[in-house]
Amino acid sequence: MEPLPKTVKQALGNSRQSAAGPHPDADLLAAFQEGAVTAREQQSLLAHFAACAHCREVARLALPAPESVQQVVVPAPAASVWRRWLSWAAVATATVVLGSVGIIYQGQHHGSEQAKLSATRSDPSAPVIASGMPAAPAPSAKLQAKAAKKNASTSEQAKAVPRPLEAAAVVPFDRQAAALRPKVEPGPGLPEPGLPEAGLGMKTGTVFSSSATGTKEPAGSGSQAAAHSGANGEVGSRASVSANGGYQSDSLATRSRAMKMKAMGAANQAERQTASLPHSPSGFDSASPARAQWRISPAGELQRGFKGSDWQTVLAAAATRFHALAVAGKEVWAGGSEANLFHSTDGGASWTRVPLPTPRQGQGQGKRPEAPTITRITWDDALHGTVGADNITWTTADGGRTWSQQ
Amino acid sequence: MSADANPAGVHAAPLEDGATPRLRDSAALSPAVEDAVQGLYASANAGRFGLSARQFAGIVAAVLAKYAKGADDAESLALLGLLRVEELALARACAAGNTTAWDEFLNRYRAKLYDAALGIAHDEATARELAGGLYAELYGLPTADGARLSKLNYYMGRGSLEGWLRTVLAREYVNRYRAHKHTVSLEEQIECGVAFAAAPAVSDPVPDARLERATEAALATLSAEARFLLAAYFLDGQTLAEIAGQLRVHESTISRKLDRLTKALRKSIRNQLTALGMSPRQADECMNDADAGDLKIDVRQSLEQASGSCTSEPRRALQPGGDIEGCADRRNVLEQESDFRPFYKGDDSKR
Repeated sequence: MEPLPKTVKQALGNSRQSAAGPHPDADLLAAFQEGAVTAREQQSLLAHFAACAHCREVARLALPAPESVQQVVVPAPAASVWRRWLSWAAVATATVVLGSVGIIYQGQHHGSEQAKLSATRSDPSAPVIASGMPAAPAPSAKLQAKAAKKNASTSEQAKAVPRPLEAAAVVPFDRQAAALRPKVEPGPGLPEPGLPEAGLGMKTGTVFSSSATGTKEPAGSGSQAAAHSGANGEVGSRASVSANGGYQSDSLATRSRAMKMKAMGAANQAERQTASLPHSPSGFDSASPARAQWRISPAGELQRGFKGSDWQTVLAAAATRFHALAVAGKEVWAGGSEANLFHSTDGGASWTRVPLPTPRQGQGQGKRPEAPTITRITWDDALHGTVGADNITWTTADGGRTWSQQ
Repeated sequence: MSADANPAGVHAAPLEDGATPRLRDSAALSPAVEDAVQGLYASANAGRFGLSARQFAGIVAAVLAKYAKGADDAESLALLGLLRVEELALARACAAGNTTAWDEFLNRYRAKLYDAALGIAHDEATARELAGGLYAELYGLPTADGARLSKLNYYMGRGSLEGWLRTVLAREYVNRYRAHKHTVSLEEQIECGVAFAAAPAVSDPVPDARLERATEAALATLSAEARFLLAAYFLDGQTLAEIAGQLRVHESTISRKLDRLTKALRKSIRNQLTALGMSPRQADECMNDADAGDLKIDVRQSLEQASGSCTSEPRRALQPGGDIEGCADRRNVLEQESDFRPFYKGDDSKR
């Protein structure tokens, strides 16, 4: 900005206060600053200000403090469309890449595990093992090559388009927790606690594995936990359990940030971001050996196992034959006969029976023996879950507090 | 409870500038305005503070008499639309001593009052003193006849009550500073070196009288807003953000305007000088000579700060905190640079 000529300064300074007229009252000054004056008053006030240093000073001092101005919440401007798509593409590609790593990792152990599990595989009554993350079937070589190719391009994209963290992307904890609840399908598979995960070739179901189980993954490897998520082939999958049992990410936005930061090699940023995420209620530690596996025995018992110990039956007194199970950290949902749905938030130490409205109960004449059997528990997002029976489905939109029959 | 009841004992109190808050009849209002006032009474929820519809109409009539005297209905209604009627009712009920209103007022504004004072004074003790003084005035100072007269009677609802409080605080602060400035003790004067100040130095003569006329002519062509911008930025040293805050625009807008203004002013003065008989070259030289004064002053200030430099100036004028003439010279330097800020401006890093 050009300096003002000295003569202009002198002329402005010589402006006579008398020419400006009487001082405006505090009402008008306040209204002026708030834009509540008429056009005529505005001109009059500005003319007065131009000649009256006193009122200029008063008006300056009367401005609201910058802090209070900053309290105004201004919605963040929407990102441009291409950036938004680029962000999603980066997330998807990173997920596929990480999934490929997980698949390769699993493939290396597949041979040895198959030998151990062959007997179980042939058993039609093999139970479900659920310990967090569902494993995916081994992808074809073509898919792996494709994923690797995408990885290269997306990593560069992620580097090229770093996106600042946005407060709006932070997802409430309850959503994060619910988002981590994996879909659990009933199926066989009965690895003993302490054995490497068995997951491939089971009769009907899926064997779930996650770092929370501690069965296979090296401790403290959050990225490998994410790799397992990707191995399920679920681009943008909901569950990603960190090695210490914490939820590494939940929403796509949060996961996007974490993955981008990995791609950028910003280890310190990743640490900060991880630290900013809420910890898992499980309290599982990467160094702790007490990471639980869950399964449903052939007899329909809900069982929990720790590495190096035997399976322990929980909820034995419930008189329920379990068929469906969903686990994420210490969040456990189990369902079975007579529409019995149980929920634990502390890794199975305590349980709550979640009442589900059954057709007869809804009509006021329900009898428990006629209640349907829960065969699946799925969560679409943090709040929306589905519990399915043979011909009935219950849904929740509040994280499982209330259920409605479909 | 009847709408006209006055359980809080709202009483009249005089307003400034001859306006009266006496709860006069609103018969002077036109029917259209009266209808609008009735609507405002409902929206202000003034009844909860014990203000009757009639009393409220009287207050609004006083506001209209002050700010829209002789205005037609349209103007009056436009003004009514700008009024902060809820805060106006609260303030007037407080002034009348309504307990509910005082509770509400303290809830809303007590902390803000102190925060505003702190923002103005940048000093906790001064802020407490300032806020406490205003609070006493708001509560009401006793008059000769023993009745309390609250300063809230002066609030007319044009701006927000919070803004009004800040403005009253700011004005009080400036007035106190000015009063303090006129009563500087002899010790302070000696410390400053002005107790026996010499006659003020004659300011640099204007190189050419035509330049002064040209400047005045150029300034006369500027709008009020332009002159305000120039004065606020170049004379008062207000920041772009402060000016922008007062005009409710972005500071980059102010920056652009100022840039255009300074360029246009130079051009206008040059044109005026040529119109007064100077050649373009002479006009440029005249303006450059005038501006060179600033350069010379800057050099002097730099030399003063060096305080050991060997110059042709008397040494006493070069030493900061030195003798009488040196102090006076420094003040002149500051004022001529238009970068002078009163000492009560706490923030020196604004520009």
